[in-house]
Amino acid sequence: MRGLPLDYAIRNLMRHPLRTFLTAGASALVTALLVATTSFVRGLDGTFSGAAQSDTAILLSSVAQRDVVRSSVSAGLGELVSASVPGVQTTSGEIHMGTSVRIGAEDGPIYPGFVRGVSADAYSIHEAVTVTSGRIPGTGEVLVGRLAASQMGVDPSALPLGEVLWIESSPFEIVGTFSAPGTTLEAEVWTPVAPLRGIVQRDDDSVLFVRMASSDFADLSLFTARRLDLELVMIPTAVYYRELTDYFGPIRSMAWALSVIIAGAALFGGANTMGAAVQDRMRELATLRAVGYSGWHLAKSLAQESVLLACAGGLVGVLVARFALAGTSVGLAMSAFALELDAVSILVGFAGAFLLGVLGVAPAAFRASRISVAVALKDS
Amino acid sequence: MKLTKLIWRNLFRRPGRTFLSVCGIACAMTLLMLVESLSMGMSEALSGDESARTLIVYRKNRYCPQTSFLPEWYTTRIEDVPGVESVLPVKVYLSNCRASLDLVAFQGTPVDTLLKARAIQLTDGNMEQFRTEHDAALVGSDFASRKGLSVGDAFRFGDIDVKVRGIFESEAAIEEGLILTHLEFLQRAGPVNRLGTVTQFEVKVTDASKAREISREIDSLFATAEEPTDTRAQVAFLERATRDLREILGIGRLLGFACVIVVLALVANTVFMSVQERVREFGVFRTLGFREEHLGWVVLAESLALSLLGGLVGLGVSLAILNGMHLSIGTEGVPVNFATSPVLFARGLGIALVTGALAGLAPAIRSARAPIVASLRSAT
Amino acid sequence: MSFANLTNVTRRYTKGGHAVTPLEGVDLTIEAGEFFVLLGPSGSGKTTLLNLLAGIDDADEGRIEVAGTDLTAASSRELARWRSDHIGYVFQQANLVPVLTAYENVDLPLWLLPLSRAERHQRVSLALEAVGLSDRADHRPGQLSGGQEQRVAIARALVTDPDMILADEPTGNLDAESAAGILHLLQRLNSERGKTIVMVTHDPRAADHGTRIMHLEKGQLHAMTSDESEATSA
Repeated sequence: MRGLPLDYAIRNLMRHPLRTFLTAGASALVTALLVATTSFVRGLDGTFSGAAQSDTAILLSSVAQRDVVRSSVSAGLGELVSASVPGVQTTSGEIHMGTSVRIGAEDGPIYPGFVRGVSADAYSIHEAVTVTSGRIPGTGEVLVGRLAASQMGVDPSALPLGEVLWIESSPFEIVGTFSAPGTTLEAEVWTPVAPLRGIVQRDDDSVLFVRMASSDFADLSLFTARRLDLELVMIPTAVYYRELTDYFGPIRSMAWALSVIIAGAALFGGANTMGAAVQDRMRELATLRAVGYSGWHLAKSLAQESVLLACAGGLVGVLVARFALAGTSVGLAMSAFALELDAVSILVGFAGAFLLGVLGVAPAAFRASRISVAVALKDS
Repeated sequence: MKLTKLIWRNLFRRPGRTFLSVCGIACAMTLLMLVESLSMGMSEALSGDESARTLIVYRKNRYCPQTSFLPEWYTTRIEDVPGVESVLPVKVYLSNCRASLDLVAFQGTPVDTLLKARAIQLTDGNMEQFRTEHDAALVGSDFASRKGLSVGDAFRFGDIDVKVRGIFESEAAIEEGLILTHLEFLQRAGPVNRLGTVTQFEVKVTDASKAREISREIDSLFATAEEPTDTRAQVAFLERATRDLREILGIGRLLGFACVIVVLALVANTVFMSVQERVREFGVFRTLGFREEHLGWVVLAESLALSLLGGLVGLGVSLAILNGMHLSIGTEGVPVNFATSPVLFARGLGIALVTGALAGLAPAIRSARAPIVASLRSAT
Repeated sequence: MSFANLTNVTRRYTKGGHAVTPLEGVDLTIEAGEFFVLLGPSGSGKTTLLNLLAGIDDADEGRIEVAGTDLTAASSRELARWRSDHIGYVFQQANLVPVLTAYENVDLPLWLLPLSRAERHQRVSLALEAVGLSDRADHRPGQLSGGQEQRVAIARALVTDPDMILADEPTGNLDAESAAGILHLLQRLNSERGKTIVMVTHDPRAADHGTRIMHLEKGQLHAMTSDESEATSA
């Protein structure tokens, strides 16, 4: 037997337009939220994992608790490591610092920025970095990442080429921009490390990046174990960035938990609507049973209604998320990442809407499939 | 009061529907309360009676406490500035600078000055033992509950091993998330070349109206020194430090708003469905002599009752979570608790009631104004 | 003494895009203490006339005066108050509130009056006794038969001691035995308590219980002769 036509389900949705609208609205909201949360979580994960390279490790000071900002290593460490450890291709001593940045004038408004002092070799070590305009900076110049403006909390147009940034009371001209998709590097401002050391009055670096010929770090690890006087710890970048990602685990869990809670609320609302739909149409459904449709046919038709409603709301939700999230980025933890809608986040959002439709109708569909025909026909 | 019976009975006319609605509202309200709780915690952290009179002297152009190193001898120079009542040098040691759900923040200070400068009260433990033992610590009540610490316990973090000699409460909410130790003890936990340095100075001024002037004078003392300072009022300092958190809170607020919308939609949907099946009944009421406003109030009251019921369940669940999990979020050494207080719950109930009123308004007006004859002719 | 007067009353409305005029220039006087029966086929406008007498519908033309009040000039608020004071209405379907017991359904109209709990209790008890349902006071409508529900509805119409009881096809949904019981009850209320009763019905046998019968057709009222009355009841 073919069953009730889809058209029946569609027409039933228009029986109570307000109810339909409210339920679809809730579905749209949940979808938009799921899309946003997925984008957020993927952005968070991707930002850190994108920077990991299988052949690169970081040397930090052992007392730094694996925090690059807290770390301090000798400025000449790079030469020492290259000379002492076989298989080292390149090294880059870098200063990583969160500091105040003023835009335009020395007494201009202050923004929190993340500055990285880099050596010339940094550009070959950090493969993700691509200079997208201008050139590599020299003394008194900076290269600005694509999301640096977002991290600072200003409009991207506030950092054009030629603009002067004041860092540690010294002027730096923006001579180029770079992108490093899927990494935290994009939120940074880069400048040569040697002049920066002088400006910030330090004679050390924060960390040393070491690129090996292969992904075998045994020799490098041995070096740090032997040279206890240097108080160093070696972390492959893959491990370092994974730890950072894990560190944000609780925040990720929180984001998902929040989405699930709201989805739960919408689920109850959807179940309510479908329950009312069955209640209103008891007689009608009983008549269909009397005519010859089975309980399964009724349940299927109700499921069609519910899923159609939820998915219609889901489409709207995806559109809302698309417009709301377009071009936005999240500044978090001295970094920033772009919220981008990709196929995965849209799929998750839509799947959530679908699930909402299926789960929401389950109690009502069960009830409809078990209608006692005689009792329901008598029901006024 | 007679109508109250009718309102209450109508709420349970469809027990399944009411149950689903209450669950949905409870979900949304739980989430809303968690967000409001964080918001209240943030307000508490940024306020305080003493904050107007307190200045924080920090290393200029530095953000993370890990990167601020000021010579301890600055204490005597700052004390000599006219208008300064007391100076408390503070060494800060953190688990991490970034936004974290499990911030561990140590503050090392000279013991005698600490007790004069900060309004802390021991709820358990021995102050004398804290004074005399170099590795003793006083633990804030929030941190103690979070970690399950009692007097006499040992607490280890990284290279730091302390013995809990007291648990304290403070007028300043954020202090209850900290661990207080002796200054020299904490100074030894850092790098060797940074002994004799502190992270910041807490300066109490006699006249709050002169705070700005005094700040400028302090900064001018060290403008050309190797470690220049940036002095600002405690509130301004905390606001800068909690920027990340406030961004997270901003997102949370949007979620909270979404929750209110979900509750609104749920209650409106339920009330509309309930009203739709009582059109004829309302016509009968009008025929018996009940006026438009009677019906309007009945519907509105049902809406309020539904919201209130769901709101109370949601509040109960959020209270259980907040009390059971001792949630806290911290950044740059500033711990912010998820606050619980009667004000929070009054606010939550207020939101539930206002939402219920808004959701019930349209169905109430519609029911009240429905033409009697048309209502009597209605199928339901 | 006339209790209700309709003078040149017209009522029009639109149904499914078509203009309908159930009442056109109708004149009617109902005396106090009458059991007036309005007979007519389905859709003839009987209920419309009843609704106008109850003040729950508005005439397009003409004047309606009931129990000394000009209904056509009264506001919605005034009409609500007036209904509470003067009218009891019995619907075709009993229209009891399903979440209230029989007692509470009968008590419902009294919630509008400034009576004490004891006074209300007394009135409700008397009303339920009059319809023979004192032992069913705690039952909800779902636990009553159709006839019992209708009797509760009559008790509800009685409880405020109204001047006039309006009954719209009160036996329409009932079996013969229950219907007879209801009609007999209404007759007793008229003869023993002197209540003015206006009943509309399409059933000529029900019409026999009235003291005066009129026929409504094509918007016009006609008095029924005794031959017509006999013929329809045969």
